[in-house]
Amino acid sequence: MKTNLKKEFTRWGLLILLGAILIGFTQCVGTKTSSTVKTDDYHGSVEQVPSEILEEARPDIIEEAPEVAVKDYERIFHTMSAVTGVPMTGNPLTEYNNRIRAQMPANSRLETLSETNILGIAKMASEFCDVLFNDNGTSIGYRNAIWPSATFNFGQNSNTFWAPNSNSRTMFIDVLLNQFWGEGVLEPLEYQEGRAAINELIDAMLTAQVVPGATPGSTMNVAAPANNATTTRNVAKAACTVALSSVQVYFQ
Amino acid sequence: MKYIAYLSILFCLAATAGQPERRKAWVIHNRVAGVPPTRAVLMQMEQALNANNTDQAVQMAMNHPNFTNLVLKNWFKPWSNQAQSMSTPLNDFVATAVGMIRDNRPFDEILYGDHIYYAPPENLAANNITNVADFARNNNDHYRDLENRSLNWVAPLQRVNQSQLTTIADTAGAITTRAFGEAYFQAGTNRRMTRFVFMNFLCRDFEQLHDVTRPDFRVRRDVERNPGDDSRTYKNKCVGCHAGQDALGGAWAYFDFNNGQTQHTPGQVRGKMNQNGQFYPEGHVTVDDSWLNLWNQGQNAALGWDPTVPSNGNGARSLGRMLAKTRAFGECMVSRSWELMCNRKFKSDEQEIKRELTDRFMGQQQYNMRQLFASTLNECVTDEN
Repeated sequence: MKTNLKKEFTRWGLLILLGAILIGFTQCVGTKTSSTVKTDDYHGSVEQVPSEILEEARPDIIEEAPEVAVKDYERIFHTMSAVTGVPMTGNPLTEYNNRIRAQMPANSRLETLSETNILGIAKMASEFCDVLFNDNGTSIGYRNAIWPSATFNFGQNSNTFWAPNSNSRTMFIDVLLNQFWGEGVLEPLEYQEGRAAINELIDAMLTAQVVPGATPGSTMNVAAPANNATTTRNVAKAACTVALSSVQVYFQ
Repeated sequence: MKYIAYLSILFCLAATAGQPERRKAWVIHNRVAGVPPTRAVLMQMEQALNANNTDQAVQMAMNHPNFTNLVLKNWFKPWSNQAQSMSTPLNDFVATAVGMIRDNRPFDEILYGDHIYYAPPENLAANNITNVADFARNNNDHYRDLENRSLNWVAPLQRVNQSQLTTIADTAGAITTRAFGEAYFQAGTNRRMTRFVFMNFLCRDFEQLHDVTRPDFRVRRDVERNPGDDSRTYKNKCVGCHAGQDALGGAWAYFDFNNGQTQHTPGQVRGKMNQNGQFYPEGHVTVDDSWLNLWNQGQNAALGWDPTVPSNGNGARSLGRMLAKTRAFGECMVSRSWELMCNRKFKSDEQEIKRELTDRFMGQQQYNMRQLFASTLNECVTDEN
């Protein structure tokens, strides 16, 4: 018993000694300091070194790096303001966006884009679109700059404004996509696919949604919205949010 | 969310697809200004690209205020703190670096020029910006307020002699700004400044400069010569960085960061330069701000030192000048610009492009960053599309 205990002590003693030597070997600059002398924090570990600096002298291993990047928080905020015409200051967005900042992309590296970031971008887009499609004088001013009231009557009931293949519906989508994604920037096929996706969304917004497996009358099912001007603006708001939170807006 | 996901996938594919000149114009403007162009600017840029005039198209994008107010600001912010974070307030270094690019000043002067940019009251008034604290050496309030009070914070900036505004005699551009002082002169032994100057402006950390063949007569006394009771560790490891960097670091002998401000005490070596002398009393004792370049021979001769610039001197400005005139400085600015504008690093088969861009940047462009950005985009956006 006594021998075993002695062995244990010896083994642990050796381990501690080895650890101390290893630690000692890595310290070039002594850190024995008096209470008035500050310690040196120059010796950074490899983990503290930004990857781009270390990689500078390495041969490139991954040749097919992505050539697109994500816009950071500020760029997205500025971009959404630029394409919607809703100013970045002087409205509830300023305070809201300060709160949502932590959810937004912190840098431009594509590999760091997370689901949280995408949700944050969608939230920010919905706030801009909310300002754009509110029913007050300021919002109407912003909206008219993109969808002139002479052509677009958002006071119409939803069944009229969003009637399939109606002028108002077709033109609304075209103006929306050209404004947010750039006129003639996408190839025709890409544009048509984007257009079809928005059309599908509008249809879904205007019809009752039955969740598969849900019992009739369940609160999970959603009834068709009322046929009025509020629905017209709400559907426009949804289409606006989807277009504004797409990668065409937040990629660069 | 279903529709957002659908559109995201669709345009992930679209972003890499081949596109006409209008698409290129859109991409260039988004990268340079951080926001899409207006319809009118998009058309003008497309025309310029159709005429094979990428430079003109890039210049149009650079005319957008967000190029300086947003893109350059966030590009420089990580250079000014140890964490390399963009989430930091505007400071005097960022304002000075952005101001120099706005005014087309040779960017090598960022390491030795007597420059600082701030917003004097008359400029603030002319730009209708209110409630901005006056410039002060011992806090960052002026720059913090400037960023918070105006989206167009670059407009009121004005260059003045840093030595006049701060009373530091040995000014050296970024190195002697308050932001750099706070990040790299505070506490420690001032070695951090050498390391981060190399990291930020020469794109090399000390691991990459490690050279144990350099003589160690300038290694300071706080470096143990037998760490772990084995002098081989010192000879094979410690000396690789300390021989070269301690010889250069003498330039910071009179600098410190205390009471919220970068301090310069000419003729008075700061205590931290000679602290912990008990570890090796025979080591180098710093008695003035002289410095010596021992890395101009050996493997680090590859940094491309300018033979016309003295390899020894006194103080921060002369050291900053020597570093700014290296080939490594030019290459580093080219690499960083490439990553900013092209969203990726150089590929191994693009080394010739890198060499040409560096030659042009240090030669005919005379360290003009705006021209470098234009050349960079000319290479990569044309190649991508």
